[in-house]
Amino acid sequence: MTIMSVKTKQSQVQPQNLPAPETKRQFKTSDDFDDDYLKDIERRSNINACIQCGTCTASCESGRWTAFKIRNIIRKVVLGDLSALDDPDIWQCTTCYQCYERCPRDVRPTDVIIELRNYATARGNMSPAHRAVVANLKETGHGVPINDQARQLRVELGLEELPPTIFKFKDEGELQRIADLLFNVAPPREKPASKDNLKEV
Amino acid sequence: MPREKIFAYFLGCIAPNRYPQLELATSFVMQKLGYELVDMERASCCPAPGVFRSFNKVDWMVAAARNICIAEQLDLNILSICNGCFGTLADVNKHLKADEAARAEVNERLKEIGDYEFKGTVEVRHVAEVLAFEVTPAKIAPLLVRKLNAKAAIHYGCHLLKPSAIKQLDNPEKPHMLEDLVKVLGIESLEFKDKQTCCGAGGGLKSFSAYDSMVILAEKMKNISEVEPDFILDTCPFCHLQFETGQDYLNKNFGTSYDIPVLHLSQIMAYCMGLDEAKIAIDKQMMGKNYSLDAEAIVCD
Amino acid sequence: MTEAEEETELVQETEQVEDAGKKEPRIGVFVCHCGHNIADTVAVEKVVEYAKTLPNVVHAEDYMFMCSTPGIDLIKKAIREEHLDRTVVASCSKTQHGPTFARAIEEEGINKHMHQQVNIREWCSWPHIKDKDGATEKAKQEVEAGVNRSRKLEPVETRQISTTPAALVIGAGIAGLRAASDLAALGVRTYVVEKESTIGGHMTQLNKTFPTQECPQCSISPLTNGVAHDKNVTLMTMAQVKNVEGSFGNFKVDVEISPRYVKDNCTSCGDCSAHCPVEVPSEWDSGMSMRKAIYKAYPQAIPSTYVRDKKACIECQTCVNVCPAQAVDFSQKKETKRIEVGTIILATGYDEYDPSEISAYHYHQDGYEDVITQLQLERLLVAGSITNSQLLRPSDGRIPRRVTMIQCVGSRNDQVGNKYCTGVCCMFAIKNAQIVKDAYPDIDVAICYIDIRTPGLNNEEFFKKAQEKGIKFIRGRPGEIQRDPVSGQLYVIVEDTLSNTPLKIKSDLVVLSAAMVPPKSIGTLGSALQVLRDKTGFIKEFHIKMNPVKSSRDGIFLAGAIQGPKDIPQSVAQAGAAASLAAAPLVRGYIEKEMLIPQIDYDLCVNCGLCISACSPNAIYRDAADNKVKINEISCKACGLCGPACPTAAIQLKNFRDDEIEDEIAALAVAPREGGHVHE
Repeated sequence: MTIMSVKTKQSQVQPQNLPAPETKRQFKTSDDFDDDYLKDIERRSNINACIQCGTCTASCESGRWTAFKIRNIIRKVVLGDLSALDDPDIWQCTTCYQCYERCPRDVRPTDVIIELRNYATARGNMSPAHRAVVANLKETGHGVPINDQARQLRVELGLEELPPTIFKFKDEGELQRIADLLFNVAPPREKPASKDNLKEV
Repeated sequence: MPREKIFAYFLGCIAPNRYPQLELATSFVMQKLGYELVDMERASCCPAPGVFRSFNKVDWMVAAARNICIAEQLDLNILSICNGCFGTLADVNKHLKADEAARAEVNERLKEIGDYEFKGTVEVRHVAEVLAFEVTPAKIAPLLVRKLNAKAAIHYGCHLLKPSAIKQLDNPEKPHMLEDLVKVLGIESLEFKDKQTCCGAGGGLKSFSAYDSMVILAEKMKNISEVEPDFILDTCPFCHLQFETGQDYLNKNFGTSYDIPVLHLSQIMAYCMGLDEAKIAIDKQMMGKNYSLDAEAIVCD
Repeated sequence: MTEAEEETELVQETEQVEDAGKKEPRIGVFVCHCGHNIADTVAVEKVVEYAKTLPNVVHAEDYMFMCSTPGIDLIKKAIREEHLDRTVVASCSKTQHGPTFARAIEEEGINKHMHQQVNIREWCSWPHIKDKDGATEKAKQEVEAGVNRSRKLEPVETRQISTTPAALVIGAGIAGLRAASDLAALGVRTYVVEKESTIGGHMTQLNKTFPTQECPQCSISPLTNGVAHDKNVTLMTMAQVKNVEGSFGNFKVDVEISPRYVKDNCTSCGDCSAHCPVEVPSEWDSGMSMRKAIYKAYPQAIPSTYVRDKKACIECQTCVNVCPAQAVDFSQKKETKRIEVGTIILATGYDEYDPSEISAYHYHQDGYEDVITQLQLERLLVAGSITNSQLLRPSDGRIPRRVTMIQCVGSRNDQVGNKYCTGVCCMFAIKNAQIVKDAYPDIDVAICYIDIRTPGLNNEEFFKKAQEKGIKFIRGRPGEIQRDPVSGQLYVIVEDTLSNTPLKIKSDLVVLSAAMVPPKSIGTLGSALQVLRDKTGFIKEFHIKMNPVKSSRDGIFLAGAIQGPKDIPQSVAQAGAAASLAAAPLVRGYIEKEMLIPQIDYDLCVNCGLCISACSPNAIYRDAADNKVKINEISCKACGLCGPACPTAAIQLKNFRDDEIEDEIAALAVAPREGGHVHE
């Protein structure tokens, strides 16, 4: 009887905060890889030539200070590893082109990052700050719109309060057309990239 | 056929909307050199190569092509004062001139926006390389009224020289076009660690993660301040903004006390050609408000 | 003329015509099944039947494998029994079995050029495997074409052309010396032409050789001394080949010899050098030390005669006055010697890649004196070096605390330098790393690599030994070499890819493993020899797999790094092969040449000379005596380009005349005659 009560007590104590075993999987299977997006990027860059020599990461300023490791990202793309699309680190490249200049296989890693980001954006992986920059462009025609301080300084310097850019002509309609036609970005996506939801791009 | 000594003046965003003194200084310099600058009405964001190209490469090309079309309609080559704008406009211009399929796709989209058709008739230039290679120090020297005695930390940025296969201006590993150019102004270039690295702002990083972009800048500021320059010299309003806001951010968050003035090539060139220090408007910038450009007047016979 | 006399004349005429060899051809056609390869698609019996209807075909049969012994026997039997004077075999390609059948008919006394090979396998049964009827018809057409061609074939004689019993070796590095030594041992009179003032090449510059860490000067000394004193060898140093005329078996070579300005009675005492006031960087020491304007490259140099660098010399004449043997002679002039040889071996080696163009590594830039190449490191460590074999930094003469080596500099690079892998640098870096570590256990030695390539029996072990000594192997290609502008400290910026860690390695000495590139002079020399170069600039071998020793030109062979980067044992082996190939025609005394040459119809020739321009072996020339265009039968390679170049079709290559080819095409242009040909 004592045993039974202990058993009951134990079953009443639910273990909390233990991650489910299936989430601990370290190895990858073919479900984690997809050739389609890889072939697409392959067409628009030179990633297959990569020999993982590491010149790119060695040249990467961002890589010295952030988690962004361009060589690893390229490896993932070459293997068709879908997790590259959800990796926030791909947004930490400053497109300084140092890797591009030095790569002995002419992989042009910067171009690969751009393709990858385009893919990620189309899937809705876009930071709120970047969405705001797009909103700026659509509203004002500028990624960095004018502010009061600048208007004042312009006048002080003897310039026109507004520069002759499209913002000055924003009521004409063309800006609206630009806003309607360009940079229509997908809403944020909940699920991580996998073979089935990849096709929705 | 675009005329000589006259440009379509592409302003971008940060120069006109945050640092109009850069816009003014450039106009002053080009006018002194006998160039005419024509407004590009209705020009938009170039669009920035780091943010917008990352979101959608084709849309980015379409918007860039639209800007180029404005210049084509004026039949003028474009003058840019920003590495980022130069990076976008020059690279897109070159690409669309060479790739028929891309050009056709872009022109299809442009029709929906307005009466635009990319024809590939103009070139895209940056004020730094126009001054260094087209005008040359020899023609600048006679027009100077002031000569400095300054030591500068020269920052090339990334998109002026790279990708070198497209830009073909100077060797990005060890360039000397700016050093050679500013010698005539009395500026000595200081060697500092990691001189050619990125300021950390580009590629959308400054908006994606301001902190990370500041971490990168922190290292650069450490290296620059070690050599005690009179000012930082740049050719890009975005790097300009990064050095300005960056020193401020580092001071506020990490206890540094940076106050190194940040000057665009146009500002310092304009000053030496006679523009009032007030119009250079360093005092309206964040850093080096009290900095006074120490210059000797050049006495002409 | 009486009727009888007329008849006699007619008979004589006919006999003359017959005597001229215009007999009716007797063609034998043999169609092969090639097992299933042909017979499953082409109905070979039908092809045989069709062949029998063709004019001049007196025999036609098919067989399972024509190239087999019974197959060959069938051909021979038919030749004997049917008195065939030419054959057509319809089977596989000319390259594959053309020579087999040609040899067979030659054994029966028919000139081997009287065989015509028709390919009904690669050209018919294999590509048309699904269309049996179509393939059979096509086979008939091909056989008819072959028979048409066969009809007009003429015998071609094989002439023995005697060879000049001498050989020329250009380059006296390890490959050239080995080749010369082997040639001399075969009794061949050998000329060795070397452009430097000393022999031995790059091997003499090395400190040690892998994997045994032997002294290369010691290894090569028997060869250098042997060759220099061999009675069969004429050694010419300060010499360059300027022009080559003639052809395989009989070359005439112009050699330009630059003056040493020092006579042969030089005792090598060195007084001239000791007193010379001019110092310039020593090329042989890779710029690590200085030499005088009058100098000997290194103490053990052969020849031991000193040499004056006229460009550096200020003509103070101190050396002239000081020389106890009165050997210095400023009046010496450049000479040209003409030598006659039968074969040539090209062994001019390589140059070390100049890493200056890789800007990120800053080689040769101010402040980066401690960035050197592996060859320069060898020169620092070698016995008798400028630092007395100590490892001292060029900038300040101190012992480095850390030496970092960078692999693949100028190799494996699509953007700058060369695309190829040099294949030797992994080994020599590991060698030098071990030498440094053995001599200075406290120095930290690191090698940054993309891959470690150590093929060869002993070389992986060599690599492991290096690891066991604590040499750090960092898998990563450095992005740049940084320099602190204030302290001057160098840093190698690299990612250790195996641990995903970007590194900033403080280094006191950085050694670049630079590629092997073709030697600078190979452009002009290659053109003088008229040998093809690969797109990398190295000389192209005849066949990438089956003949890496022959060049594109008959009679010119390749040995050593000039044919592509390689190490010493590979160079030595290839040199032996080259010597053997170069000696064969000389020892035999003749080369055989098939006299397949064009004939010129001077009635059609308008003397325009276009054929001369078209001829790449320069085998056509205008005879100064009668101004007629003539053919050098020895040099002609029967390529046939002269034919189409001629506006009047005056020059026609034997057995490849326009009319012969037209006959062949005629059969291919029309369908096979239904029911075969009917003889009138």
